[in-house]
Amino acid sequence: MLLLAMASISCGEVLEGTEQEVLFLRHKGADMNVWVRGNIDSKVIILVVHGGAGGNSAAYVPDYKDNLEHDYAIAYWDQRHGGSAQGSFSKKEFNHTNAWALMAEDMMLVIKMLRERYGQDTKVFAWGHSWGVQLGTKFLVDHDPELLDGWIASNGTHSGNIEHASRNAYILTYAQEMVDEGAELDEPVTRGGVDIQTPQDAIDWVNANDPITEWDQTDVQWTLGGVIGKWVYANYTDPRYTENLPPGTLLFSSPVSPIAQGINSARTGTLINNSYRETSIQEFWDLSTEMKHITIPVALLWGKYDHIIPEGVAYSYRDSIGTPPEDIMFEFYDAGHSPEYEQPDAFAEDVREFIERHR
Amino acid sequence: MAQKIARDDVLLAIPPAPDQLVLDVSYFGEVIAHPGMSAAIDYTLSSKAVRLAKFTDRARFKQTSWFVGGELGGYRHRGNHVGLLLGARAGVRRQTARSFLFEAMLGASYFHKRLDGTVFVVEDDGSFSETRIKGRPKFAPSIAFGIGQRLPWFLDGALGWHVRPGVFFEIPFNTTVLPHPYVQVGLNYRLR
Repeated sequence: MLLLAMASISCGEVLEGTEQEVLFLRHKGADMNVWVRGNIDSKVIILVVHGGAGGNSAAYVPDYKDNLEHDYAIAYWDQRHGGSAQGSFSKKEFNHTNAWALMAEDMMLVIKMLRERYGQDTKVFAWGHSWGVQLGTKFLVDHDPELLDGWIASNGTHSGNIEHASRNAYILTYAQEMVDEGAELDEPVTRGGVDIQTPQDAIDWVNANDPITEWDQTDVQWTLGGVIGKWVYANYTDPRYTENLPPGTLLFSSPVSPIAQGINSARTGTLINNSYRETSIQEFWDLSTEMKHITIPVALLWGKYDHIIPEGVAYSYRDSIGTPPEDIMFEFYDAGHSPEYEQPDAFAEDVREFIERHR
Repeated sequence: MAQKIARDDVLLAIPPAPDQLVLDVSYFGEVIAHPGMSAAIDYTLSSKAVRLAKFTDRARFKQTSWFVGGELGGYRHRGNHVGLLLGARAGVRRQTARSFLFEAMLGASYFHKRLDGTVFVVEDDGSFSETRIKGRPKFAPSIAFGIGQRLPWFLDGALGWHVRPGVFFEIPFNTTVLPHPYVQVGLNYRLR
């Protein structure tokens, strides 16, 4: 009886009822899984470029499985050393100096692999979220953007420096509103000798730390942005969250390995994503001057109230690319960092409109 | 007088012969639910029986055995990988007077991890090809603890059951190590 119970758990149907296939790209020591789900016959694929670095693509399955998967195939790609990706390579081959370009090369190959598998006439769009925008933009800069039929970017950046400036602007704007309304910080920010107790202290700190040029400043700014963001979300957003999967679904009835996700995330965090230290891949860099050759259709679908990658980054991204204005979709949502999760219906509708216009 | 003779019989009782060779066959569930099977043979290196004085009506012993063995197992995590383990294990097993078993063991295995999907590799000219070589060789040390019971009323006590949670470690996994918790649920049989 126990064996039968175990076998039945392992054959769970929760994520089935849709076309699906698991592909692997084996490249330079990594075996990266690409879980292709949804309407494969549509000949349109949306490649998910997940956040992190070191996050996972399966986190977005609940956002897409009941809407966009009906219309298109969604390719949930786990990046090298992220999600359930496997393999064997040295940490010398994966550090803050070389991982970014290597992962952009992986992305180029994943796009080509999808066409190899589903036909050269298949339309491939990519959607990047958070770190996925940084990675996708690196791909667009280093490789041929025309490999994609369109690029959808949500709450990620093309420049660490512009991200810092936008976050300072975010803190100034909303801290001033808090001052005007007599609101208090939910918690003080005390790090590295800095003591920020009130919204006015926050304003003073930003005025004394603009531009951000030091690692210690990024630490304080990040934390302060989170504290201000908590007030902003409570006052400005009305999230209609995606319904999460039942507990254990991914563990027991999917190709996903939550243990691998945890190990990859922790390890990648140490190797390349260690914020506020020189080994971080995500701080002082700038692609904004190298993006004019990007002329493919681009959708910038942004959570307007995000404190992590604030809306100022979206405006700069739009102004940095060479895509003609008529091929740019630019939408904001009453959401924070994850519009696909916080406003899933509106987000999916815009993705659908963008793809139908450019497929 | 009769009572004294019976007590002397208890004191002079000979402990049961230790299991020399034990076969066990188990359901092997990686994270419980990724199904597989395993089989192992354990050989007892040494065994020590201690008579329990608290039992005065008849002789009872607890027995501690040190063993080494070989194990073969496999499982499938659908859409992720198929795992094959072949290795050796060593441990200690204690059988109580009431035939309950408690065991602990360490293992070291060759772990063949085969991707469960269509695998593409990039050729030198930039083209793709689907490869049939989907596996990678790994090393997998392991640790497990088990409980179980011999069934003294069945097959002269040669048959038993066990539940054995454990974890094996996939080395290497990307740039690090990946633990794989598992559970074995099965039967063991004294061959000799």
